[in-house]
Amino acid sequence: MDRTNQLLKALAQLEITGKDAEGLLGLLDFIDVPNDLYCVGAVLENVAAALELPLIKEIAPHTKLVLQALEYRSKTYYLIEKLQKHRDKEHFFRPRETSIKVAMHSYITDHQLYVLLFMNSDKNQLFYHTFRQILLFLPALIAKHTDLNPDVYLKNSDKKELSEIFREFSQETPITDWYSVITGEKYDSLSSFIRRFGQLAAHLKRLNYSKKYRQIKRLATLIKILQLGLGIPRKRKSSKGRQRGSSPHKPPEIDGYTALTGEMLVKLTLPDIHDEDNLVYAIWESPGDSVDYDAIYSGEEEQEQEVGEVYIFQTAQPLESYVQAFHGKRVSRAILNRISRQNNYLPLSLQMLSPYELQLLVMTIANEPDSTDTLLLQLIIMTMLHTAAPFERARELLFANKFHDTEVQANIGYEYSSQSWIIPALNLNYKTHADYHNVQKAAYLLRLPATELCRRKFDELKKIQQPTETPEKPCNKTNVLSEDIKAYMKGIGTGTLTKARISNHLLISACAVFGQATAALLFNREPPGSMARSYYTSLHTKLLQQRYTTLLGNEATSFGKKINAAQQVEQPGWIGARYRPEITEVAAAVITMASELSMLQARLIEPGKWIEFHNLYITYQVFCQSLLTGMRPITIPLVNPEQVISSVGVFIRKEKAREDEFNTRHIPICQTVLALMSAYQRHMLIVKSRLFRKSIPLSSLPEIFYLDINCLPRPFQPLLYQQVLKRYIDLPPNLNRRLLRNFLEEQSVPHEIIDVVMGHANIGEQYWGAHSTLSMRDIRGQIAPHMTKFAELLGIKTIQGLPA
Amino acid sequence: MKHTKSTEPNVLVDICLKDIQGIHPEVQNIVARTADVIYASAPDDFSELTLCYLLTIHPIHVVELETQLYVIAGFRSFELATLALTRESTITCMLHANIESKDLTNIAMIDIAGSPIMHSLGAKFVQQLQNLVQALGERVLTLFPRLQSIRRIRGQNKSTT
Repeated sequence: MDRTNQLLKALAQLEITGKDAEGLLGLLDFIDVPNDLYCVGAVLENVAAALELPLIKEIAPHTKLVLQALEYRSKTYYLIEKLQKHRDKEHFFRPRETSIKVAMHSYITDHQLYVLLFMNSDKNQLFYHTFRQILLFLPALIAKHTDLNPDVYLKNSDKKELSEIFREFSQETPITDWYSVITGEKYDSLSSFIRRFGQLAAHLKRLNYSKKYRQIKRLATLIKILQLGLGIPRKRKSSKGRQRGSSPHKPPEIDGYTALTGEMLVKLTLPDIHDEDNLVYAIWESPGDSVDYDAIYSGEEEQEQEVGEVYIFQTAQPLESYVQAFHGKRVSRAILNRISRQNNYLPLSLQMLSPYELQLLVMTIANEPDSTDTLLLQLIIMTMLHTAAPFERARELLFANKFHDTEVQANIGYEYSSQSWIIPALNLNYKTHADYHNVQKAAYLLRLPATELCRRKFDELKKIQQPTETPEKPCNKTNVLSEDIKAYMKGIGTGTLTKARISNHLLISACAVFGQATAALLFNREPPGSMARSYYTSLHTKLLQQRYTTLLGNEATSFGKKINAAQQVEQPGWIGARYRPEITEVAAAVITMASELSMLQARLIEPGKWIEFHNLYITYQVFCQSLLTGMRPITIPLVNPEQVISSVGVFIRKEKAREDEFNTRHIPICQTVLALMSAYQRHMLIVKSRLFRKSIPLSSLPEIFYLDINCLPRPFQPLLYQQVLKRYIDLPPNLNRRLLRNFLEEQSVPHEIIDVVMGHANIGEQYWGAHSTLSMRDIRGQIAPHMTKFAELLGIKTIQGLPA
Repeated sequence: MKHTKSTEPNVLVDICLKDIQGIHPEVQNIVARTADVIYASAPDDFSELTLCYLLTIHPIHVVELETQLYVIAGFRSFELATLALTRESTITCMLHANIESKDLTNIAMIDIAGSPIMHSLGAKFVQQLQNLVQALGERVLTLFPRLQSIRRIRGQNKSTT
């Protein structure tokens, strides 16, 4: 949309349309208004004051400019009056913010003069108004001189400099003091105004302060720009052919399209040849008036042109679609790159061990070592295998009798007292820190039960080197080098084992069986792919211990052995995400909300109670629906019937404002959600009927809103929601996603199904995407019983809204 | 806008719903005070057909003010029409030609307070409604499906407690 249309649209919102609006366009351009009319009221007040002052001498001889000043002045008043009546007038008048940089943030670059028109001064307002009058007419004055002398012209950079300098000056006390000394004077002409600035330079020279030289220089620039209005050309550096630095990046479709002239792209071919190689592309411009058809038909044109090869029009397509397709290709290539970057695609045989190799490895480790060094090598390989630790980490293994639960562990270790591996809890790097005081903190370490082989090996070690009581460094440093390990591995089987395959083996198996999140928590290692899963998952240590045992059991059966794992150590707590919402506390919040709602329902007859009811009802609906769907509680966190495909019970939703397909996901929904949705729809209909009685236009209502005490709608915002929610549960609004993910993980729902529900996936591997082979029906079939159970555990009931 | 034109003071006219500007400015305040009122029915309790008949039986009363039409009585009808019908629907309204501005408040109040007194069922609402359904037979249930669960029409308080 071009500027005129945008301005007309903005004016239409002020109920100024048709000729009235068109008449105002001149004024709006005159003051260089931004398209959204931001703070235009405040600016117009200043403009009116500036135009009320006697016009400067330089303008007076130009009747057109004088008439323009008069016309704009009356239009200014007209527009101010309209703005005063507008219900959203805060947007147009002076914001509370006084810092010009903050108040006019994002307008400064494009509307330099507008910003100056907006500025106010406590002590120098009159001076500012005079300056504004000059500013308003400066472009016109310069344009008049340009006609006589082409060397006098105003560049955009001049405007920018002018704006920057004046803004800088407005914060300098020596300068503003000087302004206030002269503010009572009358400036009847631009030349006298400029003269005054000349005196300011002399004044500054006499002062003694740090920035004065910079400001004297800036002042000289300011004067030079203003002098353009008097017809005095400004010396400019000759522009070089090439721009310095790199030119700003332009999206390719603009580049490509504007560089190609014409409307159609046609494919030409020779009459007898249909070979692809002989195709010629041409850009065809639709014939305009300039083509002399008569000349062509009469044959004159043909005689003047040499007729070469004859081409046949094979196909043609609009150039625009060609450009789009071209751009599409580029984008898709970029996406493919992103996908392959994120998912380190490698055949599994290159990443993990085969059952045979695993068997060989375990047998080698089990061998009686012939020396201490061999024992250490065996121990390190065993650590790599059993804790999925890279060599560098395994080498730093600590062994001690007891590890402290309350200390942050840096290294993995082996604890003799509990016969367990010690894995430091996965530490996710959060950009923001948040402390939730009333919630249980995550555990610092995870104890994984060691197998019989591991226990035996560590007991052998104990004979050589007594473990310390607590983990201490560097008392049990092993000093094993990468070379030693490589040499040792050469002797196993065909000698093709690598360190990476050993340490990745269990990690990859865990990913396949339990999903990426569990694998990351178990071994404190992030597998490749989307990290989102780990950020949302927090699991009890007990569950992780069980899963570890299962995993080792699977591995052992792969080569026909039974595993004898140590007893799990009772270790309360959980590890994972930043906080862990518990079902009981969320259920308590749901029940409290529901009982408060039913109390309010009994008192709906009291005046104004329904507003309270509505606000809590909205919170309840958002809370329950988002719990059951795993929606992000942002923009509009409710299931909309238009987004539901009821035949498969799937809700299609786009949550992040991005154009790519990665953020449109399909969420299977359960019956409770549908019931909640229809209760909400009815409730909103009744709320609308009540607002209608208050003469609030229904078309202006946001999709979801709270009501203030005067029945005025306030659009739903996560922050408002959080404020209400805080009364029931003191956790951030996205607790729903964490709770859901944990619940489903604990129910041992297949991880790909969890990913569908949460909308987590590696780029290009969406389970709900067009290329996915998972059927939505199957997904829903697997998830539905769990969701019903979840709703039951949380005590979510469909509460009817306002009765009528 | 109007299909029939008459010099008579009050006439029934067919008006497109979108041509009604809203509630008359003089009485907007009074109507706003009814926002707390709980009715026995919601806009989606009526089918389009039944609502059109009801709107003819209890028409919206409008006056012309500066070439625009404003509602001066029949507020509930107007509310249901706006929420349940499309903006393009044509409904029959009573157009008043000679109403003094000072009478508007009275008319509005009479409608708001008088209409419920005039129409609503008295004691034992649910039972009376059931009696009515029995007396009128099956046909009434097809016209008003909500009557199949009368308690719902009565409202939440009774059914939940």
